[in-house]
Amino acid sequence: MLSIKNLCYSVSGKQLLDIHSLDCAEGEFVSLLGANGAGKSTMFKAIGGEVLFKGEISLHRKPMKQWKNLSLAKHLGVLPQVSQLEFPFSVEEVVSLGLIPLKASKAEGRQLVLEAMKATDTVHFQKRPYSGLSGGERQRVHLARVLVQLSQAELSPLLLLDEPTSAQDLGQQHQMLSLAQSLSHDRNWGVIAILHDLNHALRYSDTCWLLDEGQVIDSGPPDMVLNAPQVNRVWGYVPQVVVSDDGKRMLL
Amino acid sequence: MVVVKRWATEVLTPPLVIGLVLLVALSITTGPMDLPVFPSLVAVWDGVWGSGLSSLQEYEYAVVWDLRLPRTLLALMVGAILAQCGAVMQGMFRNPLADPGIIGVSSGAALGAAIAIVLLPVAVQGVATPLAAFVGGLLTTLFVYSLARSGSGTSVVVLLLAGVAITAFSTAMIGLLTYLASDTALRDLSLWQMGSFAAASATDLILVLITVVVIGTFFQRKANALNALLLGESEARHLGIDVETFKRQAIVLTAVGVGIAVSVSGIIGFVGLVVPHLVRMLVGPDHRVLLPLSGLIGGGLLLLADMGARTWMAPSEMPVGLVTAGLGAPFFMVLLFQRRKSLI
Repeated sequence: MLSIKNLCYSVSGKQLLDIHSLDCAEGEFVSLLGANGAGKSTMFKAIGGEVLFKGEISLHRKPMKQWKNLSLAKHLGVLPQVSQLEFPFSVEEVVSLGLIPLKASKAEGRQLVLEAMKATDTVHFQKRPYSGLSGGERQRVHLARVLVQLSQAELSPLLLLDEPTSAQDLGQQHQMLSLAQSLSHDRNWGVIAILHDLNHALRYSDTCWLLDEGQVIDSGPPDMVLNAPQVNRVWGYVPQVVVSDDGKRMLL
Repeated sequence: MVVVKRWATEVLTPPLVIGLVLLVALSITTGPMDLPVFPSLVAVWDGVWGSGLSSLQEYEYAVVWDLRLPRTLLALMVGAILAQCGAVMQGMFRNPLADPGIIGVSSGAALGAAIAIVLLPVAVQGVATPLAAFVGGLLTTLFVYSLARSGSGTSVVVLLLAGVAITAFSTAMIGLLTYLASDTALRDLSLWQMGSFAAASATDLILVLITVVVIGTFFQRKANALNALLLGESEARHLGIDVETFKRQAIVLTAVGVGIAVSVSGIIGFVGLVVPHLVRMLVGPDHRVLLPLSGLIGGGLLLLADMGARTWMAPSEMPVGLVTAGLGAPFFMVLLFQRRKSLI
């Protein structure tokens, strides 16, 4: 569904992204990994159309530039890493902002918002002020907002998650990733998540894109991509590979 | 557990509208000259429908129709414009402390007016002063905006800093002009700067009416774009908003709104700051509700301030800008005090 071809992006002579070819299929959960500054967030910006780049990115075989604003909004959702809100919103009101590109009656809108809040475990604080929430709670509220935004997609939507687990506790991290995984596997969404924990990538994602200095040095099943030499090349750390009781590879 | 409480618009609007109508009636029936209450109101009816029911003398009728009514309408509409422009700018800048004055419109307009008052012959000032104020405000905004524009969008920080610099420059130039001014020009200048509705003309009223209608309908249609912008510019873009186009439209229209308001009534500060803040406390930050209620309450509040301005020191009157600044500035300071932790 998402296809990136010959993507080049440079700022004042410095090449930040140089990607020959990448594809994300419907129902695929991709983890995007790389050291800090490798170009993970820049890649999200390129997909979201926030930077001017050379090359072509298309969604459902249609170049991004040919998508109409509102139609693209229904098919491409981005969960930002941090969201500042200076205004006194309640949680429910923030989630309702996801309704902006949609066509829904008041009752339908309320229903969509409620479903998204249930899916992200945010219903119990829907009336609380957003400003009083912890970082992890805020992230889940925004995920609910993005779920609402993508709820009327006609084709499978693409969801970009920028470090969705960074502010969550252990239980919530797995809850968040299970949700992302079920969105891709059960509802056929394309999901690309920037992750920091290699074991999260091993456990949840179908494909791993490994970025280093703006280039994809490897892509494929996380088991294959995240081998000791490549981890050492990207992060400068030699991991110990262990096999868990259920036969899954893990990196220490 | 802290729970956000919201007033429903359907509950708030009727008492607000009734209050506004009562205020208008009060404004028409009060003033330095004592007029009978009921015949004064009937005189308004007479003027609209051409009937002759009122028992007012001709000169009393003129007081109602030529002085009090235009002034009342002007205060209402200018208040609505300023409050809505304030709400829009705060949304656009994602900063609840932003005020129409902050991007330099007010001071640019004041500089334009000061140039007209001091340097142009008295004969043309009736037309030239408001026009110069409007042009000054618009030029300043366009200049500040083009300064803040860059390849990847509009930098809010640069925009705000440019506004600060323009304000400082305008203040210095106005200070310089006061040395060149004659005594009468100096008096006109300082009175105009403090703001007043005393000189409401039919042209002013028509100009302001058009502005209030255009701005009100445009921003109401763009309320969702403003809501999305509160999340941030890239978030708004992801929600399908054409952020650059909208910001350009909003900046030009708020400049027009504030420029025209300043040109007909001088600098009236803090309405654009205080009113949206109060409304947000009642109904929350959703612009679909915030904008119309801000217009309503802004109009009412400025009308109230003007009634105070013309009755407290009767028979002479205070500039209404003094009243709004006197009440608004402490309010602003309280806001700063509350938010000082998050500002540092």
